[in-house]
Amino acid sequence: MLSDIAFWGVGLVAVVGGAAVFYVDSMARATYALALSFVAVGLQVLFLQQNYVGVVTILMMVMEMAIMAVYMVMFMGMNPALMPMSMVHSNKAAIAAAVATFLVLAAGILMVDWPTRRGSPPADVTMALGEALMGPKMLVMAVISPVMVATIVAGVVLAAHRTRYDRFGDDLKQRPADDPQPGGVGR
Amino acid sequence: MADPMPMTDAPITTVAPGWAIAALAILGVLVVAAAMLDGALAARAGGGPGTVGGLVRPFGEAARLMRQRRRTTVEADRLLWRIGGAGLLVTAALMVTVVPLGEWTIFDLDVGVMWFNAMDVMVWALVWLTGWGANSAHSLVGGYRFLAHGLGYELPLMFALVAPAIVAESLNVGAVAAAQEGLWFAVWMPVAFLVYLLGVAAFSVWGPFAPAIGTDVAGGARAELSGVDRLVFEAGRYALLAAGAAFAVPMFLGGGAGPLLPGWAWVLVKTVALLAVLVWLRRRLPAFRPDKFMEVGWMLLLPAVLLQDLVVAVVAVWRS
Amino acid sequence: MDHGGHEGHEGHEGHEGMDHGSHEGHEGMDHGAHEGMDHGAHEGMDHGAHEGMDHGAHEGMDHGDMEMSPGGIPLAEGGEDRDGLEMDVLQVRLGPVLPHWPAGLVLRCSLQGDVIVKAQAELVDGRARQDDEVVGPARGIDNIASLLALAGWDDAAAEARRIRDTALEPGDGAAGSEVERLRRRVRRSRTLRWSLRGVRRLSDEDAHARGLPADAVGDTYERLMGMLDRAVAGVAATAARGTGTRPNDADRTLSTDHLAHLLTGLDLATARLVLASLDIHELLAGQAEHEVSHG
Repeated sequence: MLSDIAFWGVGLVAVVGGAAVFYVDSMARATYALALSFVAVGLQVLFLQQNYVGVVTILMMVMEMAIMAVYMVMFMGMNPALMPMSMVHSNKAAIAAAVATFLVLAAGILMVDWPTRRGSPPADVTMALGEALMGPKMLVMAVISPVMVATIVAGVVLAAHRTRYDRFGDDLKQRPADDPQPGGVGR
Repeated sequence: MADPMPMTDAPITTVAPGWAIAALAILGVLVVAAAMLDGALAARAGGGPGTVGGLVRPFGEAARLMRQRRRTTVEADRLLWRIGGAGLLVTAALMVTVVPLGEWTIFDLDVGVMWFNAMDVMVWALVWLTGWGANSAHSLVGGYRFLAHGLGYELPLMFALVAPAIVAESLNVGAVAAAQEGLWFAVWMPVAFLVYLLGVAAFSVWGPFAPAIGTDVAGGARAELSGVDRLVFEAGRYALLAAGAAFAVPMFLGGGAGPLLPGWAWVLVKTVALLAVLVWLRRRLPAFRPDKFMEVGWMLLLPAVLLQDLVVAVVAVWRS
Repeated sequence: MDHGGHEGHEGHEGHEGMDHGSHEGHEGMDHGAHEGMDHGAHEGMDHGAHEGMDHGAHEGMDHGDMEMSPGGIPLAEGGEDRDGLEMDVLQVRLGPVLPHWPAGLVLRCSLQGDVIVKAQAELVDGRARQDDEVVGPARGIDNIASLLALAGWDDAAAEARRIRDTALEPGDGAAGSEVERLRRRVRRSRTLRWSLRGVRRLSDEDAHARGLPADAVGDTYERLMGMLDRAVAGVAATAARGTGTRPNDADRTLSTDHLAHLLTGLDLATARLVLASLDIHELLAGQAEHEVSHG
């Protein structure tokens, strides 16, 4: 009973937090409203006994929002915290899309013929979930992650306008390297 | 909806939630003790009011801050500012819920190690919010500096926590403590232990990791904090330091294991000793400036701790 | 708590010194009038007006009208930063009262992020000071204390401050051995060396062009070591009362004209380290109202 109330309470926080993202008038508040929403979702996942998934959700989302706030402020060029600004744009189209999506999903929930539970949940639901998600596709998953990392690194390398020739000179012999902001290892 | 926290088979009893007050009281005592120790060490270094004067200085300071009028800044984002300042204390309290005191714990979570990690990441958000909320240049610079440090220390800290979990084959804090019978993890995982201690200092914005609130940015994130807000912020830093020290005991220092004394006493003794070391560390080291530390975190600490994890994993496989 | 008492004051002074300055810096807005406003009412009104306008008139995440200025603070102007991206420019005034900062110096900075892209230095109450043979070395030690405090080493800074006080007292020259001990302690710290190495390296030409003494050549760590060496020599000379050759402090001056050049392109914290490492005993008001821009 108590945990039911807590579950629904946390769910409400998640929804209200998500809505607040569009209602508040500053980038920082929007970002951290989203973080709050994610933390609430993480707590809900804890109630589903997916402890690992729930805690990891909280961890990753708080970290991500802390960094995202920096980018939001950076790219939305605005006096920090000063200028109240609207978090929404293209209002009419957005509302239409949101309502339509909600209706489709809600209709789906109501109309799908949900199967009844067969058997009982396994002792370790986290492991069961992991196996159900990627058991037979483990090789694909294992390949994808290094590819993703390589993509990120390659993207950064291509985007950086300074190359090793800028750092070490044309014959790559200049030491210490010529950096606008020298690092702490001294390479 | 079933009980969200399934019990694990570690030799740990979960106490009634009411005991959380006792845990908070212990945390409070540790905070005061750490502040007194720091005051005494500062007094000794500065040749000021003498060691005794230094011991009582935190109380005078607390009294002064409680009487102080709140400073206001133009167009401050008060909500976020207050959340940031008060959040550190809450985060520290949530951290200690998974630390077993001998055989008792408040929250026997099967992924306690991850829980601790999630809480320490909260500090990223909180310090930045403290810096942001005040709407002042130095304060904001301080907040950003903390994130710059965070990018340097967080991954090494995470991988340092992985090492004990690999050997214990569990993320439950009690199980990790039970797994180091005979030999403490601190002894045969020294790199992970040291990196963990650096991480504790870092998420407590303490000692060499204090540039976010450094003198060179006129107080940084806490530049505009005054009165009770400042008191709570400072108490939060000490509480994080104490919580980090307490968490190291089951992770690296054998939990409640030790001769003569009961388990809970050993946990406290080890916590206090580690906390003293962390407080003292601040006396020894100048600041790790974020622009220099970032590279150290990624180029030295991260590979070192990954290597440690590899060694630990190989040993674990070889032993089983 | 910890050194709260001390820092509390610093924070406060810092606040007075620069924060309001940042607001004033914005195209001469009247600070006084703005403070006088009823804050609560002002804020409420402001938000209401904005929301109405933003939702109604603006499509797209557009940033309101340029003349809107919440709290009386106008919007920041954009500018190219050192990576060639556009970034907001924030006007911040440092000084004249700031802990570990040359007395009377006012630095009007344009910041992008925390990097000083443009600076203008001036002096409040620039009266010439006469340092005698006691005050001179003590001022040097005080500068060492400032640099150590800015580098985040509270203990060594406290020790330096204590030695400064000893050096100011007429008497037995007890400061000599203490300052020698401080020099050994600082020299032993590898973290400090790592932290200050390579920070704002000045060549011979740089030092000459900026009117700095020859010992300002090198990076910030080398300058700190030079300061300690001079302090040791200075205290010894004072104790010997003129029999030794006292290092000449007369040329430890810097014109505000040159200051901006030395600090542009550095981030706020580094700039303060560099400024402290120059061991300035006296600032001279510049000849020209000098404005220097970076890059």
